[in-house]
Amino acid sequence: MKSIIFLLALATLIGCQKEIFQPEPATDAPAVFDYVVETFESWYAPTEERGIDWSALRQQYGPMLNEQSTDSELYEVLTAMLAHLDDTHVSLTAPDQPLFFANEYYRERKDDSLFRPDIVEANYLLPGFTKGPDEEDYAYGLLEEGIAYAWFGHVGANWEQLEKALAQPNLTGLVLDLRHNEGGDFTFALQALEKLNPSRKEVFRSRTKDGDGPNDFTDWYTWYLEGGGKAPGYPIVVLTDRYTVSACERSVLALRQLDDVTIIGDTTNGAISTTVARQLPNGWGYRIAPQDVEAPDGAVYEGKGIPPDVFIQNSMADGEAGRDVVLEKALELLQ
Amino acid sequence: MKTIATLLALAIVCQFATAQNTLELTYGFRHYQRQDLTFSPLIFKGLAPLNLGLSYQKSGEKSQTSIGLNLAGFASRSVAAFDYTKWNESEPLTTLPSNFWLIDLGASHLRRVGGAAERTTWYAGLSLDVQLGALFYDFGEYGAFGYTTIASLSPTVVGKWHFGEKNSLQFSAKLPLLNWLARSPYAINDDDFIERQSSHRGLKTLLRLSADGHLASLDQAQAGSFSAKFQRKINEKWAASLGYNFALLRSQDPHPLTAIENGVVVGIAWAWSKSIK
Repeated sequence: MKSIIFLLALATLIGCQKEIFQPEPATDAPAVFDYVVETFESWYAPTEERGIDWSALRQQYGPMLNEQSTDSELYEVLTAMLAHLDDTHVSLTAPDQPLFFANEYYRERKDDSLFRPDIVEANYLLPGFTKGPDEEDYAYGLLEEGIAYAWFGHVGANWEQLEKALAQPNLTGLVLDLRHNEGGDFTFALQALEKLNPSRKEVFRSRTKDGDGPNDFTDWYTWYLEGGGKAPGYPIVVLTDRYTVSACERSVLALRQLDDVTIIGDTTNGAISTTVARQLPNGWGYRIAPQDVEAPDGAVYEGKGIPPDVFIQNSMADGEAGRDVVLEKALELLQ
Repeated sequence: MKTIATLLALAIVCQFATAQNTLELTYGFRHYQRQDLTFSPLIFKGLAPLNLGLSYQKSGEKSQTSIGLNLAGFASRSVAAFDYTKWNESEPLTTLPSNFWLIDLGASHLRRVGGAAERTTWYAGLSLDVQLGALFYDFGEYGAFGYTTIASLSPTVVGKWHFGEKNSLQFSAKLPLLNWLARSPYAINDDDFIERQSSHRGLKTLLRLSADGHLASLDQAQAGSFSAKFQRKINEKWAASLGYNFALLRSQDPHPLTAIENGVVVGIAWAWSKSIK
């Protein structure tokens, strides 16, 4: 008898488990649309910086959907609405659809081919340069005697290579190429740059959404380049473009605090917040940006990008001729 | 918390005139369901192809003390896999399952409170359990890392029925009174999180994140577990077992979380006796 009671209790325990969870939300198109708007209203931090009015967007796009709308129609409406954010940190992964980026440069691959790593390697780097195992990872070497070059395709453990790039005798300058750097974890960059920084410097501060209300944020958190490093004693020219994004833009903010640094190229992407990936009720993946970021002087570059000290762009004709005029300008500045 | 751990450790060393020692290895299926609204409103479900446990138990006439470790990795999904395309890929990409890892550490010290050792025995006491959860969500092109650590101090009840010479059925139930809970923050990647993972070392990061928890009262976190085990002695030293384990965790802050585990494991136990003078 005891065993029967025991087995019945066990079966009840297993059988009623589904009731313990919250009911999963509806997955029809209007319900998913509402979920997106409500989530962005409560989680998305740079609403003001990007001039977004969620009520207006809801009124504009909500009526385009009904309970019979297909997944394709939902995708079209959501992507049209999210495109207003123009934010690389906002993306949507949906079945049988192209990966969507809210940022026009990333979505349309606008000016994508103005930076050509193959041209740098073929026509500018001296023989014997080092290239990382993944071609988007890193490359470093000498552009000419005394002028070091390092390119990083994202911000991660690859930045540990910066020390090796600078381990050359009699350096008189460094070109740090951050064009088409897709971001990552900025703490790797801070740790690499600290080796070039003798005294503690504030580099930026950030705050994160911590509640549903529009003003629910954590306190500002200040990030520093710790001291203890050794100033290189030569100028650094940093190259940026519209694909210099996210953690790499924060790396640029940190680089601006070092002595004798000049930034040239195009304005950075302007997605400086952090990003987090989440899931919609219908199982689609999306990303959202929950942070505000300020430079030490209080400047906000979210949605605008960090402007270079010297604006210069390659043209398609430059690429066809095997030239990188941005890199040539960097060399000129280091002469 | 340190004091409790020390007392439990002392209890292991200083007990029993005559002790039965058992070392048990378990392996089997474990099913995990998790709904954490920090990441998704959907319920993720997955089986652990790897669910390995090791425990040591010392039992005497009046008490039993045990310590254990379990590791499980779950491949979980909330929806079926789907394909999508990406500008720089010639072939469609397919979404992958999310990978959840759970490390369980536990210790308990129980006193016999009733029953005759030959037929039915009841024990009651305290357990200290820690579960470290590293959660690698995959949402297609992008994913998110989450963590949940819960350390619980629980009143524990164990009942054991003997059927004949060789068979026994044991159940145990734990209902924590006090929980230490650490979870991913409201918006997942806040500055404290970024700073705590800046060592870029997995275990160090998990421990730093776990330390950033708080005492959670019963209205803030509800947890509990139940297990049943049928054991058959093969001979004086060896025994085989079939067990069922259930565990529940609920928390509301910063977003609702519900996690349920069900496991069916087989075990092999090696026992030896030792007299302490």
